[in-house]
Amino acid sequence: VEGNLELQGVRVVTGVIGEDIHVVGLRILEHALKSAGAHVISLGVQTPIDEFVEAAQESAADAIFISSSNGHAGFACEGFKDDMVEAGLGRVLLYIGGQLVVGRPDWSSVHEQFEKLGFDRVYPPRTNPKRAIADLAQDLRLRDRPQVAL
Amino acid sequence: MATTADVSNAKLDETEFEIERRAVFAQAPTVLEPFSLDEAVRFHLDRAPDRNVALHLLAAKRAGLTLVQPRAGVGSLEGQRRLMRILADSGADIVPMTIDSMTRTLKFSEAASAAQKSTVERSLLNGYPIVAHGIQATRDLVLECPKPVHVRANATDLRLVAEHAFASGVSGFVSGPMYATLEYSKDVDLARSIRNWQYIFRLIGNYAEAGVPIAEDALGFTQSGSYSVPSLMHVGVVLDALIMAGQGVKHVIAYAISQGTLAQDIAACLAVGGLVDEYLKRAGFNDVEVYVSSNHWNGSFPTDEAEAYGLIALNTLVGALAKCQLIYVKSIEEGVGVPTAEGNAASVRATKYVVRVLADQIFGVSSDEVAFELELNLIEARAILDAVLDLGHGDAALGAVRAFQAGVLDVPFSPSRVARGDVLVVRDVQGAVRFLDPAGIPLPARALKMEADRLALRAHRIGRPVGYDELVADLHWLAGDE
Repeated sequence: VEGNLELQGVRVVTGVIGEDIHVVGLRILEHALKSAGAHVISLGVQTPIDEFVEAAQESAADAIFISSSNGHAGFACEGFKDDMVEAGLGRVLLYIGGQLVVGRPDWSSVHEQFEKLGFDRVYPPRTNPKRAIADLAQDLRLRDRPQVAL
Repeated sequence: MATTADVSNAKLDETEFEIERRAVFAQAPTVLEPFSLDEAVRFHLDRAPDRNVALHLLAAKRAGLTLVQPRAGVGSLEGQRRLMRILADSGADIVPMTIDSMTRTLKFSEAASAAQKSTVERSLLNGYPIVAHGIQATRDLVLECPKPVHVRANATDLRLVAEHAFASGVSGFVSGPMYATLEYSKDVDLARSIRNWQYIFRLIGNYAEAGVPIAEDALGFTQSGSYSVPSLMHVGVVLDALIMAGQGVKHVIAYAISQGTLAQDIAACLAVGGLVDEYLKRAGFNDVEVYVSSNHWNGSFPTDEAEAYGLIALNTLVGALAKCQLIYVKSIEEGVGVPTAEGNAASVRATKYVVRVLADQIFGVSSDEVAFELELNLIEARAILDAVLDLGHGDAALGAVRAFQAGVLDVPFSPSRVARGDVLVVRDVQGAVRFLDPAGIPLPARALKMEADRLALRAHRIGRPVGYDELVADLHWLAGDE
């Protein structure tokens, strides 16, 4: 499983949010991020919001990747974006993926729910991590593009 | 606090053990004096000599029999009594007493309160709260059960649970520092966990010296919920077994888990017992009895009951043909939710049926495929174990801690910070599990080539390199639901 180092020098905080203990998706994601050259700060399973904020602060993270599988991510992520903004981390990209809600409702409604919670990218279960990596590389290029003078 | 500096496989000092024993009993929610070992030993020898797990396994080993054990536990005393009766009636040769997760995490008062609110019909706990019910009630359960009783729990501090189990006449216990730390914890330091487990193994050693043998399951790096390469799982089994033997454990149950491919699963049963024996003897532990348990698949299970029976029969075939001493049974309801007593009993009957029919059959498990898997398994496991033991200058406990720090040991999909999690595994064309990325695990060149050749066949079949998509799909291969 080779990466093409498109995230060389990028710092990503990873973890499973809330009381969720599902670890498999997280580990696959982390492997893919490392293979793409990213520096991964892994918080592991059962991580509360404040630990994500703190780790992003300490590591000067470019992005936070959250893996979630128990369907409770909506509750666990309440207020996450506000806490990030309050900590002066509004620029840090927020990505989330997995089984984000209980049952299988229409994906567009799940997508909308998590965009409202402040996530830049939202992925359904079994998304290949390479897709999120390509998206991150692109989002970072856009974010860091020199501002055009008005 | 134990640190890497003082972790060692040396036998605990008896005085230190007695001091620690007081601290362990101080964990109890009510004032509790350490149980009298002499009195407990008398209970085992006078009241329950015919229902000892270790002695039943030893008899099975000598007679070439395969015993069967399910896993189950509920919150109320009456519920547990009913559960054990149903399981014994179903033909289980050893009856389980799985401990609830509140008790496992030392939340004894919460467990007691949930036990109070649990009924025979409805358990609020996912196991039997042994500390809440206490040793008198648990002794009654042991005496009423015609079969040996095995307490099952996984956590990094089960010292008080173990004290209760053995004082209650229970003669089997589960797990060790490798499994409990790597599969059941996030932040617990491996050195600390090893030290907690050494207390339990020393306690088992004390019972053994007093004439009561107690069997202990060595799970090592057995996967829970996913899949892994057998050799790597076995390395953990050997390390747990060495740490058990270091404190005087004399009956070790070595785990092999069935992952759905006959050749690799049978080879795993053959390899793990031999590896544990070999490394125990190499370390000078010459009087330890080793048993092999074959375990039904521990990952995603079919939701369809008919398919679940199919998987159970397939997995049972492995343990029966490999002549394992014990088969651990999964419930047909595994894919649906928390198994019931009736579901577990049905699974035991299905398993016993296959074992009975195969009992006297001489099949001969030698085939080119089994030989290939066995050879690969042994060269990988020995290379990894030798590297770990080198790091510890021959000491298994120190070696394990240093090997994880160095990335020489790593486990796929572990929730623990102890593992780097850089190793990836995937199935080959037949379903056998291979290293997709061994990361820092020291595999010999020949093993790497054998692994790569098999994976190349799958890459050829799908027309691109094997990657993350295959790895995720493989998690559900045996569930067959998607």
